[in-house]
Amino acid sequence: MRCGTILTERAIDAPKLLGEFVKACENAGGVVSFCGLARGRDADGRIVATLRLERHPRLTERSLEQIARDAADRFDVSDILVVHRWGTIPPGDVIVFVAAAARHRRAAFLGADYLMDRLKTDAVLWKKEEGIDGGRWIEPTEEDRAAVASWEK
Amino acid sequence: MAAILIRFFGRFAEQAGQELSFEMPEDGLFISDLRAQLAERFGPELLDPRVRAAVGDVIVGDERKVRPGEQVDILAPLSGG
Repeated sequence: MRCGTILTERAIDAPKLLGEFVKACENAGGVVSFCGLARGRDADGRIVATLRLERHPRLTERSLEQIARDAADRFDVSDILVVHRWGTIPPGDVIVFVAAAARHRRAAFLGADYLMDRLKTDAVLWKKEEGIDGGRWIEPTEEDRAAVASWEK
Repeated sequence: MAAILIRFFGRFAEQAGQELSFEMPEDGLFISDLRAQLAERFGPELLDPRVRAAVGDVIVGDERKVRPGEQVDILAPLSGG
């Protein structure tokens, strides 16, 4: 069982990560991956100049590791990867990349879906959209909260 | 009076600064009381139940008593992913 997490300030090359991930999988019948992208406009349609993600010196990495471990424990997956960026992120760039591999596709889909729902509410990070009119701190939406809660049922 | 070092993360750092030396009683202060005092100074958002506190890099509940010299991190509601 391979379970990796990376917290980085550098740009995320999703195709490269996916290629390496697939190559390193053993016994996998399917791989599911997801990229979260920095949107160019906020919820009100205003242009976002940059997205700033603040991290905690130690808790952020620990939270990524815990979320990845929880996914590995819960689903019949063989490999998991979570790569999360922090710092200043321009629109269009990848904020987060997750991948899950499994012998059967259902577990891979569920694993990746679960990882994203957990990251949205439990990753120790703070997001701020910055534009011409100033900045706005982002919080999980009702949808995010309902999504993570649904895994508990 | 003794003191603890408080670090603010997320939106709170804009109001309170990133770090604050905070006076407290010698025999300790509960996180719940600390939050109440910070809320008086910096606003009621600090009482939001989604706000978490960490001591020594461990997230703790309101019932935790902090001792002089400890470092307390106040974490605004999370938004990663």
